[in-house]
Amino acid sequence: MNRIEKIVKMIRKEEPEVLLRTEEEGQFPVLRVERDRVVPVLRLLRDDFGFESLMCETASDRGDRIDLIYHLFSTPHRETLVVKTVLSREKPQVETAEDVWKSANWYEREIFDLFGVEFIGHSDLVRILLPQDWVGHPLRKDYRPAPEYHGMKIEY
Amino acid sequence: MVTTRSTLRTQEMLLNMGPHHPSTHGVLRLILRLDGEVVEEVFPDIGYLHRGIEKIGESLTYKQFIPYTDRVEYLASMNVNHLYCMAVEKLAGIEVPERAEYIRVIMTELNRIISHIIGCGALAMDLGAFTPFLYGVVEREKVNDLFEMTCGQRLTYNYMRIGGVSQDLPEGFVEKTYAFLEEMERRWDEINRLITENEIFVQRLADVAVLTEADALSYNITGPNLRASGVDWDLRRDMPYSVYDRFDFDVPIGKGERGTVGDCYDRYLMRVRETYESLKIVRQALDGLPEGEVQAKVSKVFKPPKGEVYMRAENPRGEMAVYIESDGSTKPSRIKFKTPSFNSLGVFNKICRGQMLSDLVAVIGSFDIVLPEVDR
Repeated sequence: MNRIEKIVKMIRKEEPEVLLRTEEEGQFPVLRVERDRVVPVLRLLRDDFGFESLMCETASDRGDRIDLIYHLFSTPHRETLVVKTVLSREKPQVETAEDVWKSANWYEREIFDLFGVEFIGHSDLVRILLPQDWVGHPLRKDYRPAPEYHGMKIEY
Repeated sequence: MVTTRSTLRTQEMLLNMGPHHPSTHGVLRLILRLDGEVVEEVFPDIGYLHRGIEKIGESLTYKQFIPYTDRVEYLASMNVNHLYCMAVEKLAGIEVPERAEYIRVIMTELNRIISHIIGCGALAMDLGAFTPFLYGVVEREKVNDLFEMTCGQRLTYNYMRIGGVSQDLPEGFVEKTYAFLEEMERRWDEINRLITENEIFVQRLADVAVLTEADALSYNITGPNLRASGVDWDLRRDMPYSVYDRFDFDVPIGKGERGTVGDCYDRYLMRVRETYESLKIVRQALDGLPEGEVQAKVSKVFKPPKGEVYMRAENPRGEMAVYIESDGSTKPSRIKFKTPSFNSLGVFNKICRGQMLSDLVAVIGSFDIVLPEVDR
């Protein structure tokens, strides 16, 4: 049994019915996890499988939904694992992973800023790249900038 | 009554450092909560240089986007070029000719050298040693000349292409690079004699803002800053990309030589030593430079298959990564740059508590933060 099978087996045991599906044909193995239980699964991966860093957390607007993508890395095992979950476009909400990895704090502020995803339990969920009074979330596919910002014309 | 530190009445103060401050290496604002000269909390306020590169990427074709990658980090444009091209090649399954791979390694390592020159020089300058920076810039100019010979640019190179590089090395490049390597080694020794063992310089950096191994991993600090905390990890050696598996080089690790493992001095020392290793790599790549093509066949209307890719590369400031989602059209549906300085800044509030205000300048310099890369 290879490691990814072990991981899947362990998750099925600890958190039954959370794992929706695994994809192994891409560059890295992908675990698709249900939104409500994504953080417990991430904590399990960190504690039991040595994924001690979160390389990247980002989102992607797929038109009908928002994908949230976590890239995990384990230095001792030299292994990358991708965890994905699906959020609704109307009210994207998910628990914060800040308590699992510290780096998630800023990643999630960026996702909140650019995609409007709300991270429940986040300690400091404010915009990070754009001004605090900016309107809209630019990396959404249907984003149209306001005509002006404090009297300055926004054109691009 | 004699006023001592314990009887001195102090008052908390909020202070803005930046956005325009000579030692913030770009436009960065740090909001500081101070107790006298002691830093209680640091809130980095970033985004002043946000250009929306990720959004721009969604409206350009894969090839059109390459010049924008230069602007993600202007001190190491070659490295970002390389990273982006590797990611797209992985996505589309393109084989790069061997000569092009060697040229890419030469360029990225030369870029690493000049980036570390600026990193170390700017750190020394922030702490009051002006000369090393100027000495370093003289060498940097020579590399800029080499790059100008090759691609016509001195800062934003736009040299690499999907499947290779834009043009072969010009005549005389190899000889001039050999000459540079020799001069640079001498000059780097000289700069080191000026500052690395200088007691005042060491005192300013040793034991300042210690980053522990556990924090470094949890905050995903990478590259020289991670190695300074004692983690033996270099992507070029441990998960080689391009042709890095063919070169012989050492990976310096922080040992706390003048203070604690993971202090500012260790972070500085990693850059000094890495520069020597990069010189070694460039020399080996020049020695083994094969003949042949420099560009693979890539169709004019380039459409990678549907899918996604996450590519990492060891850049001068740490591991940079790019995540691309392709929907099978000529334009990517999502491009995300994960940049090392973003994570480095994220750890500031953790490690700067209890430091003196004047040491903050050393911390910014030792992490070698470049703001366009943080803000994208």
